[in-house]
Amino acid sequence: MAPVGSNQLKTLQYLAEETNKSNPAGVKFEIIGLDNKLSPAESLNQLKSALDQGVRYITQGNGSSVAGALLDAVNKHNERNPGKEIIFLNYAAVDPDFTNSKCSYWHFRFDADTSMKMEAMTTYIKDMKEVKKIYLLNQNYSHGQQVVKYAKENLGRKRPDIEIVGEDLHPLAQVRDFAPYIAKIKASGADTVITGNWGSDLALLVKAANEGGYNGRFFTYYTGVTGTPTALGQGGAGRVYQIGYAHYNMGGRMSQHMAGFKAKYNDDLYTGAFMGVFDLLTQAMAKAGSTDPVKVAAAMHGHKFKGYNGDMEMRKLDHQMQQTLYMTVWQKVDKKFPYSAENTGMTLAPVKTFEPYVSSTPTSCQMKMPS
Amino acid sequence: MASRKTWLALILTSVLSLSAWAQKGEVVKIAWIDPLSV
Repeated sequence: MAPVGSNQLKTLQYLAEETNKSNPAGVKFEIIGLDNKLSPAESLNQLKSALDQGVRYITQGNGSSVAGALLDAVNKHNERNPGKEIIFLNYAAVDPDFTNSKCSYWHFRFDADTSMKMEAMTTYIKDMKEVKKIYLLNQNYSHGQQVVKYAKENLGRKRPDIEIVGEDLHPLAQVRDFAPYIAKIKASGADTVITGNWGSDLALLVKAANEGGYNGRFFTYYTGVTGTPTALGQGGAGRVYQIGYAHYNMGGRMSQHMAGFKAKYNDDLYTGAFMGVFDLLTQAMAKAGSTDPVKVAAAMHGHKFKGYNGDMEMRKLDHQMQQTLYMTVWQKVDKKFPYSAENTGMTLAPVKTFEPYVSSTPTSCQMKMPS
Repeated sequence: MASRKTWLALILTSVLSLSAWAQKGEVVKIAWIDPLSV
């Protein structure tokens, strides 16, 4: 998972530099990168280190297991330290619980959560009559478990004729060879796999699928994330799909930043959520006339704006960003979709756009407002 | 001659503007907590 973290830290630093050139609040951002080793316990140590350095804003995304520990710690810190509150900017941890049963006034999620992406994904699958047998292969932690839960619920509602022919949950970031899983998928007769895997768990999975001659479809959350484009290479064309809030060929500010990032690092910028972070933060700071997290949180709460991804809203009810989602498919670059992912000559081309209302899911959040 | 209310409004506006202006260039630290070595 380190290559993913490295890419995302560079992305955050790059976008901070770009934001520092001009923003509505006139502030300058300084990014402090802290390695949590994908461990909830180590994340809490790093949070303490951040607090010791006077940090009032933290961001995290890789792993809902980590996000859950940080969320608890942020809530406790803010309860015990009035006047020294901190804000959690969640850019990629997508467990729906964080904006439902565990929702917090101090937590703001910029990615679309698992249930929102599954809503859009299954709306797309609903019209694919050729999809008849699905295998669910996921990481064994909250995110992977939620993918399974929402896939079953959504497919049962939209395509009850589809058969779930198998499912596996494997340890996070520990499987080095997915060949046995591919063999099981082939034996099941599945024509389609749904997976929320990310990082090496997706790259190694698609590599094993290519090598094992599995010709079914993959519906994924994270094909564009570091390592997977290279693992896919020329394979998987027209068969590997991704649901996400951005894609390689969306134009506008996203493409400008992707070009700048590629020129500087020869790497792909795909975490558009950070653009949402800086847009919302700087607009809220300008609105509040302050960088004090208490005032900034109040200004972000329910804020609507035109972002890189169209109309965006940090929903008051649960602090879940409402935004457009895109279904894309892996294919060769062409004139219309020219961005070459990890210099493979392949790209993710959009096949369907979902306006925010399509993927918006209800929340059970009873948000506790600060006194 | 401005009324007392007008003077008060002007002073208040100036103070608020100064407050907003004071944050220009202010450094905001963001800690990124994620894996770099696993």
